[in-house]
Amino acid sequence: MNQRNLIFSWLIFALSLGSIVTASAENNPTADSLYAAIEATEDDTTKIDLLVALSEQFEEKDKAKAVEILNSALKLATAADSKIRQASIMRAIGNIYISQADLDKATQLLFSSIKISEDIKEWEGAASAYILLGRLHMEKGMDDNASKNALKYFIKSLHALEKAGNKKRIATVLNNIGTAYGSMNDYSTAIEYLLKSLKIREEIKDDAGIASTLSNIGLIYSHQNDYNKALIYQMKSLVIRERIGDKKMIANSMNNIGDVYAKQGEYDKAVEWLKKGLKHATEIGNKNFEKNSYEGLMEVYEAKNDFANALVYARKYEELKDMMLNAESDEQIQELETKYETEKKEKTIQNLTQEQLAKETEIVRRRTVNTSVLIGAAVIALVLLFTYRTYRQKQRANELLTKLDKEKNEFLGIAAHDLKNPLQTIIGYCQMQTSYFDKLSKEKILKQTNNIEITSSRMLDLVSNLLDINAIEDGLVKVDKEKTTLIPLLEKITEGIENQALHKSIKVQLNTTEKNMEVITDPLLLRQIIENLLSNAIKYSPESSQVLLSCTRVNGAIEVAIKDSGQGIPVNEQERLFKKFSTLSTRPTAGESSHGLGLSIVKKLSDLLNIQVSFESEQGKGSTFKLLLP
Amino acid sequence: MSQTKILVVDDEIILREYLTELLELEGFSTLSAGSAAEAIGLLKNNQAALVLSDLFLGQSSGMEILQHLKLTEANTPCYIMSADLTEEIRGKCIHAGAKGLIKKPFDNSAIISLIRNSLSH
Repeated sequence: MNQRNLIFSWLIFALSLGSIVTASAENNPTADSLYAAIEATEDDTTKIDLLVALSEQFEEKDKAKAVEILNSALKLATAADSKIRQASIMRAIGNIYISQADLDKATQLLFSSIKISEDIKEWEGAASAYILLGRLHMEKGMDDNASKNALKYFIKSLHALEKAGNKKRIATVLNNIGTAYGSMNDYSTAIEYLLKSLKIREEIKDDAGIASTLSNIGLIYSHQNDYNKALIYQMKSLVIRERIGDKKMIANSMNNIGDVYAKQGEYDKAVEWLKKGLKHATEIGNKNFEKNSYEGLMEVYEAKNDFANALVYARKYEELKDMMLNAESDEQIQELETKYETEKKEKTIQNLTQEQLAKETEIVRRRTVNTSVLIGAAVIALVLLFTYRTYRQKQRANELLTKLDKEKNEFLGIAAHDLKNPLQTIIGYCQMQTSYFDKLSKEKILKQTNNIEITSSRMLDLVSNLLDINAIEDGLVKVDKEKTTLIPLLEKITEGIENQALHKSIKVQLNTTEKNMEVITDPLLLRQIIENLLSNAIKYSPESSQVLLSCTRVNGAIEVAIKDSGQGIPVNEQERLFKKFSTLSTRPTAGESSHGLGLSIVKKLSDLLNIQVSFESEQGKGSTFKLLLP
Repeated sequence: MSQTKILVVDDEIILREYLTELLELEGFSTLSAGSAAEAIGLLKNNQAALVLSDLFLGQSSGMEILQHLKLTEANTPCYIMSADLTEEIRGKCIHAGAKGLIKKPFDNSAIISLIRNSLSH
């Protein structure tokens, strides 16, 4: 039982204390005929077998009743000294207690059953009880300790079955042992047991078993990152399952193959197989495999950065999971109610036979109830907290996916708009020069060609900026820090931007207080940051003005500042200044392009270099951007 | 006979230049504006036979020009150009009174035919 199921069963238990409904399996014709046969027979062993058969009629819907009938059968078997029947009935009751998570009672009964079976050398019975004990430990959780205990009992069951010589069951247990070793990450031992199981299953031609073991071997190889082998075993398993028409397990094989491709990074193939698995699972109505397909598809699309599809499958996965959880909860309510009923009936019997202890029992019971109420309240509080946190995590994941999807759409919108606009100019001018060649003067053609060049450069800038942002966000920008002398770097930057400044007759002035200022940084990335800020300063400054680039020491640290004489940034727009695609009401002064990406790149690169970026701006008086170098 | 006057509105200077050159080569006279406010100012003082406006004009929008034309009950046909024409945007523009929508990038011959056709009715 996983953690979530465990939590829900606690919640349901708390709820069921207030409302007990008795489950019933009466009005069952088979049960009626069994009752009649029991009444009619005088032979004790026949009566025992009939009672066991009758208990099976109630096992699903009324476990309390089933236990009551089995207890009657056990009394008769004990009186008749039928050891095989005693052991078998104890296992049956133990099995019901396991399903009700009453593990202490189950353990006690199963050990008693094993002792009887071993005394009379009834090895298959002993093996069955050991397997149940193994299952019981698996129910306790999937931690290493639970797995080790489960394994211990699986191995004991294997020894018992070897004595009995039942090959089919030996192969099943070997398969279980292999899987248990796998869950403990002991892959070589896991493979060893699985291969043994496979060999036996091949000997006895148990096709369904062969397919199951092949698939389990594939899963182990997948855990070991040996995807080629994993794929071979999963494919072999699928071929057998298709041959024998095991529709349910075909869906499982397809999902497993999809998972292997996903781990290999072959996402398109992974999607193809997971969708096949989903189709099969849906056709046969297997919700569990359907859920696995959705989960796999969600993960693959996420790995492909296809967040829209990832979101679609994440939602389907969550919806199905919630639906299954609700259905499971309904079943658990039934189980808890019947468990409560069983305990109530047992208590009544106990009270009738132990009336003298009633008062003491009452005191103990009250104490237990008080303690239980306190513990229950604490557990419920913890459960509610955990449930809330789980819900929030899920909600946050959905919000993140929605945000990423929105960003992607924004990106496409910007790309569509800001790339199609310049294309219009380029295509339009080219068509114009072809159609009206005779009407255009040389000067006109030169001017148009110049416009085409400017427009193409802007497109290139936009594409470069988009690629830069993408690279930074994907963590692909490598930082190579080295000792850097600042002034020569700033001089080079100033020279490089001179052309842009000259177009608007703007003078870029470099002011420094000392010559040998050194920092440990990535000079290429620092250059990109300063160039972006200088380019912006020129764009937003009026013609024939001045842009100042200064480098000074401030409280021991080095500060690079870029001051323009533009219109300044409106206060209400300052908050979103460094956000992607944020265009401001202030526009470049000579029709230059602005896509709202430059400052976003500045901020992201500065973060990479641990540079603090700040700005001061006053409307009408310009802005100063400051970089405080570490 | 005076030439037919067309108002071109786009916040991209080069695109504006290209369109006015094209229209002038085709014998039209042109007015040009870089924002909705500038366009409305020109419309108040000039008689334009047709308006050709981009939808996104920096901080303003071609919708403002459509609203102005509706308010002044001017019969001047206005075409809205955009690179990003979703069904929603189309619906809003038509509702606001746009004569038609032009998706960028377009052919020179296509836009000239559209304008001539619109002016002949």
